[in-house]
Amino acid sequence: MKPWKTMLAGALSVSMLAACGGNDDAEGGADGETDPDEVSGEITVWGWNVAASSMEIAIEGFQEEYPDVEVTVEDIGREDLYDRLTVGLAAGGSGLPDVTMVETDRLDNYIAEFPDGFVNLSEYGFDDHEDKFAESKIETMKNNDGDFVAAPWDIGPAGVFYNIPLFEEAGVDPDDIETWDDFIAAGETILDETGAQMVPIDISADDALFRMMMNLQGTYYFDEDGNIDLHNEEGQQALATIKEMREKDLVANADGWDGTVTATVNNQVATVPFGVWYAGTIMDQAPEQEGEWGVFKLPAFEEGGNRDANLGGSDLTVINGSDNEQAAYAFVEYFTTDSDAQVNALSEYGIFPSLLEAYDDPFFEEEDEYFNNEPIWSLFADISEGVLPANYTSDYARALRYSSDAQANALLQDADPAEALREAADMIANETQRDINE
Amino acid sequence: MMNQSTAESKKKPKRKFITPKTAPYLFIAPAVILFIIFTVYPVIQSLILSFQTSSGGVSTFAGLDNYRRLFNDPLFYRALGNTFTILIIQVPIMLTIAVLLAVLMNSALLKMRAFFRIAFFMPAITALVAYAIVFMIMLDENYGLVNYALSLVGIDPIAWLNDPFWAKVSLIVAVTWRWTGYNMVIFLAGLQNISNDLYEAASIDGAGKIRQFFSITLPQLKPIFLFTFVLSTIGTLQLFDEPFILTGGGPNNSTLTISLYLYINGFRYFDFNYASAIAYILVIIIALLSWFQMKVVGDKDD
Repeated sequence: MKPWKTMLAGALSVSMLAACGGNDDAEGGADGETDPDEVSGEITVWGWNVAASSMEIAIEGFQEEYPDVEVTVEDIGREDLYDRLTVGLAAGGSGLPDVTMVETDRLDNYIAEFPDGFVNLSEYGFDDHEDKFAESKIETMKNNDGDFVAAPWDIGPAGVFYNIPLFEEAGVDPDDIETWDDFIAAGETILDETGAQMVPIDISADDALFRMMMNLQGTYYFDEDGNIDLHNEEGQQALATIKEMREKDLVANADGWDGTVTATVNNQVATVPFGVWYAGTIMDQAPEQEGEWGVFKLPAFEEGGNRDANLGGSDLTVINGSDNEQAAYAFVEYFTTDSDAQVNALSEYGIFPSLLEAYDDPFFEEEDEYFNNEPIWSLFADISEGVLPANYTSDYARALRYSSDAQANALLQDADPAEALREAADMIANETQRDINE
Repeated sequence: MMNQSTAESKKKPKRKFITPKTAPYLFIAPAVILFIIFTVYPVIQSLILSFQTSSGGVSTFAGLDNYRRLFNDPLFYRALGNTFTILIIQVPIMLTIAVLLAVLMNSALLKMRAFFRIAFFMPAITALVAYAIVFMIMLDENYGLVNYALSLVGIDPIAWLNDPFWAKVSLIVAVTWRWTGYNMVIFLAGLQNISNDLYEAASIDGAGKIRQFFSITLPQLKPIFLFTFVLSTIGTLQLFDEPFILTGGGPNNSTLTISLYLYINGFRYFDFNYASAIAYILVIIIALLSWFQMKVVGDKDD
């Protein structure tokens, strides 16, 4: 084997970085006014899973207003969509659709790296809709100049899904759980009485519970100025609480998303604290458990404290360089601000709107048969209005990873929560040059 | 026939592109063009990228900043350490098994040889993602087949993918499963090139089977060993799919490999410049290591 051959073999690892050229300026065609009859053309929309389906069922209503616009929704897997979006934007906008969904916590990352990648929706007049959405959602949709680059779609008000038979068997009343201390005490009773653990956590890869706990206390990875903040007192308290659960054997270490779902539907865990979107998953994966699941608000850290938090959510963006920018904007505007479209997405696919007007729909008063005839949707609507805003920032992906590492470090390798978080904060500071709060 | 071709050559007397001299170049042109587009261009472009930083879509020349940052990055050393740990443990185990299997497959005593050869080679041509997902399901802590089998003999469930130590073990097992058969086939080809005369002479001199294996088979396979060793080293240094799907580099970065770290920086953090720098350091490591291996093992043969 000749040396140059090995050089070439090695070079292959470089070649995966092919498509990273400069970013050509795309033409902007914004003129601020849209007369439905003049808008025409074909647009393509990217989404995944039930989100794609819920846009699909909105096309009919959209075409009543815009009869000359053809909409094609492409259902692309979540990670696949992000990879293609990243590569496409890096290549200056080629191979991309007209409209795509992006999760809210990833949006800042894209906006910062590809500032010309998305159409400025404020130029089309989206500012008029500002008051129609949940407050905590609005700021995350804007770029540094205060313009909308994404239209708010769904949010993830968080609650605790609980397994009613397990709670009854152990004689625990969910209404008595108001603080995390109550939650842990209830977990111990349930473990003793039924053998089921309290919560599933994908310890090494996902820190969802930690994020909800931080949001409960009005903080997140970064503060409102973008300084690193996850190692503060609130963060330490959150991670210490999770560690206490782990030490009391209340945490089921679930392998990934599938492991979490399996633990849920096999009665291995008594509760799952998650965003509202998990309701759809439970209904889908365990239709036979109808009537066996209920929801209560996340516990607070002190009695009478805040119990409203958010986990996840997504939004729609228009890609710069779209051939039919106006038609694309028309679809985004219709879909995110039309109450019927949003209520249908919720009732058919469990995707929870951030459009406040939708909460007045009679659907929210309905008692859900699957969830033990409780009016869970109005409960979640109530939560979403009290959520404190979080600043995700352009370094969210890094922070998420290091925070998950800190969680694994504290729970699996018995590190002190405060030290593990400090280590994570230092890593983020080192890589992002952001200031770190002392 | 004659008339026709002379008529044609009269029409275009001087515009003959396809001559015996140019024909070979035309034949290799498609491959060369693809090679330039998909290998040469990216290689050069990523070298340029590695000397830049970008912020808000604007790239600026940054000299050696990315490399400087790399050499001060604890996670990079972590990834390097993980990769070499896997390399040092996995490659010898795999090559040993591969040689033993190859000798077994070469034995006249074995029936249904073709079946076994295909069976052992199969993993190498299985779709990467499919096999990694099957491993993931089998290794699941709570519902996996492996832990179920262990529970039958009274062993407590092991957190195969969720424990820093066992996650590495799982990776090594998975990679070994995938590539052993591939190396076995290469050894098999090597074995069939060893002249039977050597074995005959040895048995006349009274050497037993085991003595023959150590004194004839192994020395004769030396160039093959070098080849598979270099190949496996390169493969392991570029290890990506298994940690990507099975563990995502976790828990707490205990299975983070260099390639995975490169991917995360490029496609999760959008830091293509830093990712390119990692790629180039990886190339240098691979080149040095391969050169070193060939110097140490290969010298006497040349």
